[in-house]
Amino acid sequence: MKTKFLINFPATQSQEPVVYKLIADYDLRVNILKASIDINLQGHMLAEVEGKSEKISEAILYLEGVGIEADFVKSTISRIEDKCVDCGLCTTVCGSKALRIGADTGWQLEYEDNRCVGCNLCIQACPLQAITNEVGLGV
Amino acid sequence: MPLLYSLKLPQLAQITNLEGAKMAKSYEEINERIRNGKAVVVTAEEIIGIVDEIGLEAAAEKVDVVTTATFGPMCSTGAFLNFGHTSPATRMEKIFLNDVEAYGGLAAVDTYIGATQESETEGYDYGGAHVICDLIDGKSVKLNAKGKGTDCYPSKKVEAEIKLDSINEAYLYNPRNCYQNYAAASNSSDKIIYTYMGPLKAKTGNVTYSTSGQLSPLLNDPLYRTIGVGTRIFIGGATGYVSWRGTQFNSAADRDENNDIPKGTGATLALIGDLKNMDTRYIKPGVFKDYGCTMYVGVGIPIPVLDTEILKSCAIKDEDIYTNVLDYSVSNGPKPVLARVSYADLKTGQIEIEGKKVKTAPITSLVRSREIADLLKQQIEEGSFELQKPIELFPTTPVGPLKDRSGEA
Repeated sequence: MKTKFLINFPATQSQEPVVYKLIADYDLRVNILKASIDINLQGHMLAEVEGKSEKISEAILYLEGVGIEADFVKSTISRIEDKCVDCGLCTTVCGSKALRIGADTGWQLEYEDNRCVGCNLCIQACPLQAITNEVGLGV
Repeated sequence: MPLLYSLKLPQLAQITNLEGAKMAKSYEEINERIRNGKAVVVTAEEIIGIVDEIGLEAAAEKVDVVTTATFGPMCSTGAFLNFGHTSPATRMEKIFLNDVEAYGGLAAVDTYIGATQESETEGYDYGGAHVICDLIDGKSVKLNAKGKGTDCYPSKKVEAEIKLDSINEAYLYNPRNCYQNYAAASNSSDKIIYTYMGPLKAKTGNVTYSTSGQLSPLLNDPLYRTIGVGTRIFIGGATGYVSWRGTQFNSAADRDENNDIPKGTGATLALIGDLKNMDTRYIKPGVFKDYGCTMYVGVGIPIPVLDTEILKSCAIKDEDIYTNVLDYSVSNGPKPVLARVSYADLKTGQIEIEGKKVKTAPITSLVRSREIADLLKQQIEEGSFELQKPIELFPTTPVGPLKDRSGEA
């Protein structure tokens, strides 16, 4: 299975080689989409993770065991349907084609959350203020 | 389209052969048909298929009205408001609505609030466009105004909560809307720029365009034969009118010899409509990063099929409408043309600029434009919207000196 992890490191765990462990011990393919560490040594990482579902479960247990919060996230953004007018401007910054509009979609905005890489550029590009940040990660 | 499928082809052929097919209808005849519930109304997209199927002459005979529409951002938007007098009266010279400044240079309790005016406290995340839409939504808006105090207006200050139904007049006024053939935008510079056409990525990284194309009002009446001063329109959910030619009106632009559409930006319309009858489904604030706020305004304009020439213009297709892609990295002087493309090209999602494939994205909502064209069609079919013949038509010759500002919103 393929999913996205949002991993929050407390300051005490920022030395833990998480990505190495996920790959070496759980045989997961890890694609880091976004990672940051702040002045207090707290870190965040958004990663796409692919592997056997039982290995993914075990990996989550391992992370929790070492005091690192990990959560599945479908997407880092949410579209507010009644604000969106299907103009399509957000698609201009969406490199992963998670947001699409065109004749094939009947000129309605389509959003495929599994394609979203969490760049969050669409949030600011949307003139209708119709896209919100779901997990608090910046651009 | 289904309306016409009920006609049998031999009947249509007969219609086509009528005395050289020089048909002509008057506004009165069309309105009579609307009142009797017999008017045949189709959208500017539907007419394309009809003309392809039964031909221009037969379609012109059969169809009475073609509806056009657009729903895109238009900065040149605002609203006139009259608050009514308080007691004692104040001459409002400095006026704020939810901390957004409105114009204080009119009579004591009149103002004009512009869509792009930004909040003194929140910046451009909240502006005049938001105030106007909050009023339409029936929300309470905080009015703060000051005056110097005069013998006839002794009070120097007003603080009040107002609502749309508690003020005397409120009407939307667009000094400019419905640009005829607005250019698409790109950016050849080395860094991303943020514009009213959205984010434009470095090195011609994307193209944005703002038009409803073959559904757009002035592309369907390129020589302003039916859209003029006094034309009744749909605006923001209400009924309104074309009040004048819009600012930066440029009807003397070079035109495509096949379809009379200006090669660059052409005419514009000044529009008016009653805020009290509007619906924020069809008028919405827009916020463009690092640019400011603006207003998405939904406009629908009916075109009466007075003759076959008018219908021919209404049957215009995206593939036959060409526009320029301008370089928005140039702000000093006219923006250079990076490419010339059809609206059909833009709508494929990708065009070519100097051999490079570049992704395109719309800014105008085509689905909401279609919804407006359909709604207007329905209103005309039901007899609740009659056509108004313009009391003055726009010129197609120069109306005065116009500085070359191609590409300016």
